[in-house]
Amino acid sequence: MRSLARLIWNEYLKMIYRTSTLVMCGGLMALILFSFALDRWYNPFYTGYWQAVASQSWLSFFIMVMAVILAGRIIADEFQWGTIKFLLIRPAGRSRILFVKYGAVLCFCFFLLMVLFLCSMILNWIFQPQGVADPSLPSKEENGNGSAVGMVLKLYALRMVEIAVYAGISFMISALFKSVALATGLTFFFMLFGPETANQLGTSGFGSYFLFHHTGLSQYAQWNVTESVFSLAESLGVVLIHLAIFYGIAWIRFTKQDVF
Amino acid sequence: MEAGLHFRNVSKRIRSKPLVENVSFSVYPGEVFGLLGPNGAGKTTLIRLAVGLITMSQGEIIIDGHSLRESFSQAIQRVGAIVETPAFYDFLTGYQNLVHYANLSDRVERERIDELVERLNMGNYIYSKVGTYSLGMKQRLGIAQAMLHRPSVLILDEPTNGLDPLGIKELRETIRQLAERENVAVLVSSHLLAEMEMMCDRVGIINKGRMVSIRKLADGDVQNRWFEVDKADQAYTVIRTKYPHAVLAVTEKTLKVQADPQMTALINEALVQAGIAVYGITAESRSLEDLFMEDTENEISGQINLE
Ligand SMILES: Nc1ncnc2c1ncn2[C@@H]1O[C@H](COP(=O)(O)OP(=O)(O)OP(=O)(O)O)[C@@H](O)[C@H]1O
Ligand SMILES: [Mg+2]
Repeated sequence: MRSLARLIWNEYLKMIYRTSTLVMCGGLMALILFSFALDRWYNPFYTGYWQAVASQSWLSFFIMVMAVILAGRIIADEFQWGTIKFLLIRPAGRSRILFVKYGAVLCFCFFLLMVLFLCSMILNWIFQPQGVADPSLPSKEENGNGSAVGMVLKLYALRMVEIAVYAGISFMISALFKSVALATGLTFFFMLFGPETANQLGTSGFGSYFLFHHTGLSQYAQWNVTESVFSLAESLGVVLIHLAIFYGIAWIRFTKQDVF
Repeated sequence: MEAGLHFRNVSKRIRSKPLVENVSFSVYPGEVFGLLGPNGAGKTTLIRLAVGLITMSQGEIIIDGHSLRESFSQAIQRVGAIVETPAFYDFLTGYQNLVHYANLSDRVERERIDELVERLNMGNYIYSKVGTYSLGMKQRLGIAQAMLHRPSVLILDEPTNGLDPLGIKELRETIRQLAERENVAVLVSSHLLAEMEMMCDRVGIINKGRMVSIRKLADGDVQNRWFEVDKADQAYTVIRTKYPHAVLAVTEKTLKVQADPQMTALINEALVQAGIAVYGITAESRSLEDLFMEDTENEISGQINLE
């Protein structure tokens, strides 16, 4: 356990001491604040505090972009720099290194998501301090029972899964081809055209298992329930199976290859 | 337990192209073993195999009694290594790089890092970013990295590459010290013959992926000596009764004998007592370079003959 923590710390050391990571984090914060200000300016009258917090969770998209970049770099860079040679000749072993690398990206993004969540809570509280105490959902009859807080938490949890999926794709490509450009480029391509392809494909037969039918998970935690083809459990199932496959491919490649 | 590093009939092929063929050798604790061979001979390939960066197609590698293939963690735990040029994180300082590598091993204290920084004279620049280092500075950092966890097997690929004369001398002393005082088994590779002569106890000569020969480097010890006598055939019988395998060649008036100085004196005494006149004893002085050329050429002509 202690050794695992030290390995994760190593990954942070390598992430946070890079100027580009710091610039990305700074840019991310600036973007979030900017979007937030814009949002408040044009939509000053939310129905409630928690709804405002929920609707701002879309800003996690920027964290997702950063996750794709971090995940795309974390393996490819080591090969690019040649540091992989030192990394793989220590007792930690390849499987554990791989696990730690994906884990480190997810933990880092989770941290950023928490920062976003807290910022959103605090800033909204400044605008409407009275709304915090009202835990009720604006349209109770549609959502059945459940509190607004629960809804927001669920929404953020699903955002985290979305991030994990795209990070997973980028991570797999990074492990496969050891190229940052290819990993991030391809993942952004999938991000753009995946959902569109899903629409074209339709939801009949095997098409219903197509990953990009299920990546828009935030639809399952909406204020106003919309009809969806799949249930949350189905979508989560498909997503998790895909993630497991991506990770498996990355694992086979990373642990079996000869490193020259 | 079999301490040290042992290669047993190791082969590595890539798409049926052999990089290394049927190589066997051992590096024992307290010994410095040199891998010597021209560019492309397969030295780095052997080292990559020894640290598990590439998998062997055949054979076995044993490190301190653990099979590298079957129990990688236990085997590799005992090894410190540099493979080709050491690579670091340019945006971290030398010290941060060492902390990073220390975290990859169990039980490396900060004091150990400080100790190595002092021992390798890196105090002046250890807190600067590695991006600003020269090749020699990186090489030192690489050696520190390899020694962090007090390995019992140390593997260094062309360790003097990029070091200045003082650095080379210090490295040589460090390596000898590790072998002699701390009983480390050291494997170094180089194509610099003079370097190897000064630093190694034994060398394995590699050519075209094969171990051509393994030589013990005579530190005035066992050497071929020519005895010039009046009756060579008689002398041969005398020596053979004492040392059955020492005589390598006999001509009419000379004998070629493999012997250390002590043995040489005893043989001389025995010959004189047997009434044989000894006109002279000459030690064959052949540099490693001669051996190297001889062995690699034999190998090449041997291959030509086969075809
Ligand atoms: N990835 C690879 N695929 C195929 N062949 C390779 C690969 N890497 C190395 N080789 C071949 O293996 C042989 C041995 O290479 P190696 O790097 O072990 O030589 P070396 O003895 O370390 O040489 P040098 O003194 O130049 O460092 C060379 O003929 C080389 O062409
Ligand atoms: Mg080499």
